[in-house]
Amino acid sequence: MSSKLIYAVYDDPDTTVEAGRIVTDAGIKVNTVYSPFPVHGIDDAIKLPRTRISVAAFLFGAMGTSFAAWMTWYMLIYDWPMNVGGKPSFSFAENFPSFVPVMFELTILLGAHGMIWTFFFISGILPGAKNKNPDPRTTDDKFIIEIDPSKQAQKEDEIIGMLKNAGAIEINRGE
Amino acid sequence: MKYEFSGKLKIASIAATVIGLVLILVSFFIYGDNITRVWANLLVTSFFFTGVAVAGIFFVAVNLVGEGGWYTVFKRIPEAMSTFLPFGMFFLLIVVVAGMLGAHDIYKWMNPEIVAQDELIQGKSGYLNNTFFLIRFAFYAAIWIGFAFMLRKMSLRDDMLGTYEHYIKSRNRAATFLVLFAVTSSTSAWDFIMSVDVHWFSTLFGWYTFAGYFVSAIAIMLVIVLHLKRNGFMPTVNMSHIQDLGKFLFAFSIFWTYLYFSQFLLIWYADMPEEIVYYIERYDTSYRPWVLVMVVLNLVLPLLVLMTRDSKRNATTLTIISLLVVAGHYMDLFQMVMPGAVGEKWGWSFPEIGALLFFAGLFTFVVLNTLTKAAVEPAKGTFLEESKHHAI
Repeated sequence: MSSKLIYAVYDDPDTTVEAGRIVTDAGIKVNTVYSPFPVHGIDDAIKLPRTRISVAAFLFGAMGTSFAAWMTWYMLIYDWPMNVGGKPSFSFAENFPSFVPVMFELTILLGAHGMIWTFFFISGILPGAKNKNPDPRTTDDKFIIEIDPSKQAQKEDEIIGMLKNAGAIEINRGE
Repeated sequence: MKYEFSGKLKIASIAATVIGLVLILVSFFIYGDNITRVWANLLVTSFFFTGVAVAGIFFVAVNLVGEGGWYTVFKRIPEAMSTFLPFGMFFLLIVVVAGMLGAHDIYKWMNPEIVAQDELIQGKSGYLNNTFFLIRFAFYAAIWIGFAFMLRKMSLRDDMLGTYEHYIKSRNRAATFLVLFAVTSSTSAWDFIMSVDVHWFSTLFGWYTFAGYFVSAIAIMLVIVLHLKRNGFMPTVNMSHIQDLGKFLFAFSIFWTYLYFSQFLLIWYADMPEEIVYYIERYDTSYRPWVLVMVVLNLVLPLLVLMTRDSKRNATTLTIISLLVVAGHYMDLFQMVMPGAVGEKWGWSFPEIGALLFFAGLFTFVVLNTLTKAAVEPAKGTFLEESKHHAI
């Protein structure tokens, strides 16, 4: 019993954010919150660390730019020198403007794909992944705060009492 | 709370205006042999600040039509910026009329002797002639100034009424303005700026010019918001508003680059003599370093610095970047006008500094003075609560 996770069910997004804030401020670590839609302010309330997806986006974007620069140079200057726009200079620097659209597009392409695949990989959403949702109602109109009582300083009853006081409509237990 | 125009800033702005005026008058005597240079500087700066002022109403109108709520707590600032329009357009009118009277030759098509020998200008004279130009000028002045004052008045009335019906009414007026501005923003850019290089034309020139002064307007708005917040006049403006303005600055800097580069790429690639001459005048002459610095200030700097969230939430970084972007877009307008107006006979001394000081000082004075006339933060409004709780 003691190692089982606590699932506090709420039926309103604002109550959920408030409950998350109350338990987090009391020093309890919230594992995660399940919700049918993105809830505004929840990441602040349960003190989630800031996402680093923007760093990934920048790196993937920079990868796209440099890959496109290398690709246009290799294809149109080195491997098969092209007469760009009637200016047979065969120099990357002088033909640079016509390569900008390619570099721009590949920056977007790699940035967008890199971000979405990084997100899938980190969240463990891959083909054949098992459903981790504890309660199918969180895909409809319920919100669940998940807490692991074995990792908290407070007693289990105390945590459950706090969650109930904050407006939980039911408390479930699970693995 | 009303804004108090503090002594130091007030004196500084008046001093800048007076010194600027003196420098302009002095340069009329010093540069008697190159009087066009002085007038061209007046054109650059008056058009720049007129554009910033009209972009102020544009910002308000776009948010009204899009039913955007977030900007409500600082809407007095773009509104105050738009009250500079009568001043900016007055000096623009002086430059235009002086050209028609033959005081300078920025606009070659205003000179009947040149037109008589130039078949290309003759072909355009149905559009580019003195009478029609003045009619268009009156049309711009009526629309821009009229809507600026109407929207500001309606917004101030909103402080007392705060009803949804009143909001819808001002939204409909804003929609009318946007339709008219869609046309006048393009044609005014052709008239005042593109017709300096009278043989040359570019179809996206209007957008390119508009993007330049819109970015400048966002940057100036950001500087004023930060200044007012630092001095405690805007307690309800939070970091989310400031970050969103920073995003605007970032996004529209890229938008400006997109248009600038689109215009350049097609002309550079096609390499047709009648078009490429525009860029030869700018890249293969003494203007080259000026243009390169301009691109760095308008693209590289905001792109790299404003990319992170932290820099968009740092008042000092934002102020510095905003001022540099404003400088960059002034330089952009400078290199749009000068090569066509004076060619290689340009420089950086009395006329340039004078015109810049005069208009920057006057703009600061007029805008901040308008801010003292009404409470900086609206008392009522349909989206006021939403705006106060703006969080991203």
